[in-house]
Amino acid sequence: MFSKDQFRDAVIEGIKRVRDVSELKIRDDESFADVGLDSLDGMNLVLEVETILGISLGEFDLKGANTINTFYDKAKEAVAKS
Amino acid sequence: MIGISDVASYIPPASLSNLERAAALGKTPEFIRDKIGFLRVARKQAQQETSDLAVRAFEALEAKRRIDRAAIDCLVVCTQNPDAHGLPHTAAVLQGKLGLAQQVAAFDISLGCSGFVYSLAVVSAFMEANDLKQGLLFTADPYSKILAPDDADTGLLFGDAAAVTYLTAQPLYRPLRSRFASDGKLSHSIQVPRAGGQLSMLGSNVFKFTMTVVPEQIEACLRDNGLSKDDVDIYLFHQGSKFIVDNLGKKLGLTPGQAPFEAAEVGNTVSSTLPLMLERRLQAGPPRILLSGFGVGLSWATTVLQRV
Repeated sequence: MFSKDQFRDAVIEGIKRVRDVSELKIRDDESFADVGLDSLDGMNLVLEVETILGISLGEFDLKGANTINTFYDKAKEAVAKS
Repeated sequence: MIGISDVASYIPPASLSNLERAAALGKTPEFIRDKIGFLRVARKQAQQETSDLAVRAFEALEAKRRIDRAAIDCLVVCTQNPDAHGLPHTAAVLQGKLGLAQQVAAFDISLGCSGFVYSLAVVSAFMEANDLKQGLLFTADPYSKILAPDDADTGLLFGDAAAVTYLTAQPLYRPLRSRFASDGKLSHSIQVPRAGGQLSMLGSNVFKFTMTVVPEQIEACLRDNGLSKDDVDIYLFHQGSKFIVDNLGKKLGLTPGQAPFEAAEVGNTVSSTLPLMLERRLQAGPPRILLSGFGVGLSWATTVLQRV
């Protein structure tokens, strides 16, 4: 499994890759839309986080998981089920 | 050796503007233009049946070249939205509408976005095995029959069209070795869940599958044929959306020019997206074209066309 810190780092790196930026600041409770991600970017973000952490989230989307906090909670559940 | 001699198509003149519908469906014009990519989606007339779209495609083929209808010995329709309830099969209906000879092998293939590549392999092999000389492979899958217009996940994507690929023993292109795959465990990702129902799609599943197994298959198909990525002149990917085509191209290290998006004015026409792109470049075509179709099933298939 992964710690919250590891997950946060993966999400931030993932957003940077999706948006093709070198710097990014995002709070744990800030929505991904607030940093410029739309629903399709969100799909890419999930793939990036899986790749960075070496995990599989299975059938997964960011509905109801549009912040680092909620994404982390939903991801933990998904990995626990798999 | 059976291969592709010509391709023709029919796109209905009526269409819906996605830019005009964007706000009502909770999307911005930028999202439509830059991500979805479909500015318009073609729509058949309500009374047009799937076979009617195919007839119009055939008429377009006859306008380009002389076809001896009496010599056609194979007619296949790739569709999952057949005429009426699919009984009789749409190919039989079409054989009647075109007034073809009785000695025609006519059957339907039930596949969606992977359908053109699958069908090309099936029909070419079928014709060769049975010494058939002139085949018509139709793709005609009007999703307007099954769309919920207020569904933002699907209503902005799909357009109606039909294409016909003329297969003969004097081809311009022949398919090399192809690859095929299926994953029925994800079949719920694109489905009409009940008879008479409407299409539902889990976009996240479809995107994930496109970005993982499809690139693997493309690379495997190239290896099977002893080719490197640079040996292919152009990559024609199923036009699921601009987002999918752009990301798939990026994943494979291709430029936008190598993997074009050309469906902005028509939409995702399911199994017709590939022949529509092929039609544009058949005559002055490059030596090698890779085709990859992927979607409902989930199923995916890839081939390389070699100019003869």
